[in-house]
Amino acid sequence: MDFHGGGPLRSRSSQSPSPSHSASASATSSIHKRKLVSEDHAPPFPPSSFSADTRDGALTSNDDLESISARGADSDSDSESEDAVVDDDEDDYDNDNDNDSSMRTFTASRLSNPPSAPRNTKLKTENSTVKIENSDGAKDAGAVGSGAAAAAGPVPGIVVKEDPTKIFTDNLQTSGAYTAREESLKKEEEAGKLKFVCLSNDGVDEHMVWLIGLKNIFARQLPNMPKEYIVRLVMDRSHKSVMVIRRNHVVGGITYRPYASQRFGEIAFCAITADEQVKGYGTRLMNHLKQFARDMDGLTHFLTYADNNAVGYFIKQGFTKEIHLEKDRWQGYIKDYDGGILMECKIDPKLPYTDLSTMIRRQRQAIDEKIRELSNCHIVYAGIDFQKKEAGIPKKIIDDIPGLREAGWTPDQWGHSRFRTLNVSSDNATNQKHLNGFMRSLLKSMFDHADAWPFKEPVDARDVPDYYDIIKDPMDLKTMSKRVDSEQYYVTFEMFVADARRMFANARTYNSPETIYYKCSTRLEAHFQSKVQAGLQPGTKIQ
Amino acid sequence: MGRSRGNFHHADEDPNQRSRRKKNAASGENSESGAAGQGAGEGKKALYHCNYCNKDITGKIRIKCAMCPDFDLCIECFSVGAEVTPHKSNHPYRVMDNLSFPLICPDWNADDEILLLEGIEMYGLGNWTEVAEHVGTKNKESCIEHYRNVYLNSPFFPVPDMSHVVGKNRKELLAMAKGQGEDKKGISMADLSIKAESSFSPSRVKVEDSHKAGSANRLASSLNSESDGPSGNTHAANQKASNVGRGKGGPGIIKMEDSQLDRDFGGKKPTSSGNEGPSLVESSGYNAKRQEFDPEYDNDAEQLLAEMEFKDTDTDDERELKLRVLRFYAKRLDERKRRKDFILERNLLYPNPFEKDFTPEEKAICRNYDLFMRFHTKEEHEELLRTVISEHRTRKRLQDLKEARAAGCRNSAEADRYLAQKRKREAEESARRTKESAQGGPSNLGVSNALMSPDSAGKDLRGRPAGPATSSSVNEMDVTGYYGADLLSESEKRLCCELRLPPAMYLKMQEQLSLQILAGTVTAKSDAHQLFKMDAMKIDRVYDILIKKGIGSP
Repeated sequence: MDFHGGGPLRSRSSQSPSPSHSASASATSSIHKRKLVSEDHAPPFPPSSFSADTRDGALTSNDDLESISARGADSDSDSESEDAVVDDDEDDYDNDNDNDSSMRTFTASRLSNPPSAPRNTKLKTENSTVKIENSDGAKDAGAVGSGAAAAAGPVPGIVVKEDPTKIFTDNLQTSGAYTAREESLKKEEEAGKLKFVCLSNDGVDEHMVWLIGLKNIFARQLPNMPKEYIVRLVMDRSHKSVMVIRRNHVVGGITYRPYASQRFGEIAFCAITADEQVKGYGTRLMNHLKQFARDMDGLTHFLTYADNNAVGYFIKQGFTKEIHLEKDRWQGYIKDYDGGILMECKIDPKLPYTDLSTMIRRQRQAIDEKIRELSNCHIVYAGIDFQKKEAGIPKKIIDDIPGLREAGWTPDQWGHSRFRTLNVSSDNATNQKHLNGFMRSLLKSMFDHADAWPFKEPVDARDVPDYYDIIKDPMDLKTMSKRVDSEQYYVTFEMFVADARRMFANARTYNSPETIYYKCSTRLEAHFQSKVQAGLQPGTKIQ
Repeated sequence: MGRSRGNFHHADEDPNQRSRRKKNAASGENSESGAAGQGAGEGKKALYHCNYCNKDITGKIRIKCAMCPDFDLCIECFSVGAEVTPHKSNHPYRVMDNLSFPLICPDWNADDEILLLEGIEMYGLGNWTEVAEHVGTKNKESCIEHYRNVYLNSPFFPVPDMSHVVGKNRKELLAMAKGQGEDKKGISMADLSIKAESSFSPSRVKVEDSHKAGSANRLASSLNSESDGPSGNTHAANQKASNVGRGKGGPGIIKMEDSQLDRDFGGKKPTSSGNEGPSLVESSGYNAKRQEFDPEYDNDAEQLLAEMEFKDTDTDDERELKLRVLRFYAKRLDERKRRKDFILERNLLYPNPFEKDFTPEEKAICRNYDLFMRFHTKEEHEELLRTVISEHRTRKRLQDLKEARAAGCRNSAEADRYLAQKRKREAEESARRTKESAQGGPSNLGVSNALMSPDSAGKDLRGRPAGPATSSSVNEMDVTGYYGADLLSESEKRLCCELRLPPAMYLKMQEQLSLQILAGTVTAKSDAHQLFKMDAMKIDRVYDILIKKGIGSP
């Protein structure tokens, strides 16, 4: 489904015009720019949440469910705090669009996060989003293709996952994404904008109104479940509900039933309203639930039946598929279903679930202080003025970087490289000379290639006005040639390869796959790789 | 304290980097060769890479930008002023030296500790899969165990206990770790072995558990069935349940399916002898542990609230109306709970020990009085039942005594004997009929055995037995047990056996004939025929006895 979803997205990017040196280039680029602007105005697609219906099925189908769960976990990695809906009823619920909607969820989150950013940043974000989706499409294709590719499948997911980190850590330099979200929600609670309550149907008007609101959230997230059944559990006096309330409106909640004599709780429903997802409410809600259950009900475990879509969410909240709670404590209290997976979570008796960020910060400070006694890595040195010349080459080599010697660096570590040319010498100067010669021959080979014509000179901003709005690190063969000739810039072969790759990647980023520039980039890169491989020792591969 | 995790993990916004990641991801071969290359180079997964040239700088001194998040450069790239948006070469920086020394326990280096806490910060406590991936060098179980042992179980919770490493420098820590590492080598191998075994155990245990759970459920069901009472109780209870269902107006489709499923499922369960149909607990859909019925009383109460919604646009009147509906629903919940508590308090789902010794007829009477149960306490209701059953038994006794008196008994002892004989006779008749139908015809020998068999005491008393008036066969009857048999002579006993006359009846006939003969109204056998509605042959035989005694004339 992701791959199918990626198709239209790729076709959208393929609609972008390809710049050329003709007079019409400006017009087509303007069209491209206007399209980007119009795309920003389109409202994000409202995503539906995960569904947690359990399904009836034979024992053999459980194996399929297991594998589906594993794949679901991968798709869940696209959004860290995707919230799930869980229940223990028998009704079947088919959610084929789940991966696609979660991808749209992520996209919507990305688009809505920097609303006041300048236009250039917005354009860049838009482009990045498109690339993320393409990457996911590729991931899915890889998974379908072969086992080896499937092994590499989870890696792109991790790539996508890093991006929320950047958004949050812009403001919180030393905090992770999870802690940042928890911290911001905690501040909202302290400011009174947000409220977490745990209550049951006790006859109080306000509480009953909130429970009806929560019932409606569950009903919307579980369209195939009978509303009467949801009402019965939510309004049952044996069940409790933890709710997120913002400006007297219920945003989400978890309905559970505590069994005080057995000291465990059964989670019946769990959902966040659709337009408030991927903001950390689900995690915060679960943390509050654990705190309430431990402090008020005296529970030590939670159990729940989760279907494929919900397993990923619960795993992130500390649930496991292995059940360690003694069977006699829960057997018979929880309805048995063939289609769902029973999951367990142990509640730690000491953890401050609603203030984990403070605890983690204290732990980090302790570790940092200990390391500070033994290391200088905490010292921040002032920036160095390199006084750049053309092509980014510094005017002079900095022989003594401040702080380097204190860290234990010695000159013999200079020029460490994984690549070894065919002529190996013990003399650093001779090695550098050989490296420069090798790089010069590579450059000449690329210059002489038939497909090198788009890359011989830097892109002219007058011909392609928006190129430098999109490409922030331009590279071309002329610049690389100057750097090689300076005999100072490319200290290691990795630096040279990185510049070449950046040049090829820029072309593929700005141009769509059917353009001549894209194809030249692909062909020239293949040529470059074969030349590099021929010049290196056998066994060494370009990473 | 950020880190770069190779080609696939750059956190930059730059499209260039993103595109490169996509390319590597799309190409499986490239990933494989890259992994192979790394494998050849280092023994473990690369953790830190230069953000410019992608060189592996794990375990080496590197430059970390103080302004850009998670941006690292190797010494060479930094020295030439390499820049990748958004990093500038004049940004302040930190020199990160090698942190590969243990900090708290021998297996965990300082950078591992930093990565562990960083991973928890990024992915959340409990999301151990992602945290372990972030650490890179440890698996999930190691991360969980280390965090629990060092941080959660620390005497200085939540801060780890670092008293044993106070004042130590880097070399001393390495030396300590080396010493402890050698001791722990064997232990860690054993742990690895145990871990390998445990990786298989959970699934096996799971399979066994599921199978055992099924068996346990079946056994429990059998126990429930065995503990069920007689069928009368079940029938009455089922009738009551049906009444309740009818009163509700019928459950919804789904609930009906559930009920049908329950019944079908119950039908398949083994039932004890004498028990008809599923047990009352199963038929009512009661789950003792959850204390829930399926379906519940007033099962459609939730329909009121299924579509209810409070909106900002509601007027005060609308809101008040909805709240009133909510309160009404609360009242219905109260009633549901009251009825459930009543059932549980009176233990209506199980046989009543109070009725253990009752006859089925008496139990039926108790069922008729069930509807008064709601107006009584448990003790009051039992008192009422006791009174009603006592009345029933008294009336039955009166009926029996009247019957005995009609048969000629004069006092209580005679009545008891008569009733006992009557029950015995009825039992023998029943046995005889059974035997005759089995054998297809009367047999003197068989009948003799049947006549000798004792009567069954539990048999209900029936009405006055009709004599075998139209019987053409001559069957002997044992009159030894009958009232008045001791008054007869041997010849008279044989006559009663041949004619199948009870001794009391014979004596009565004799008396009547004697009186009539003395009065002169009976002078011949033909005259005697009109006195009794009986077979003429029998009357003749009785008349012959009188002739022998000298009372009558031939």
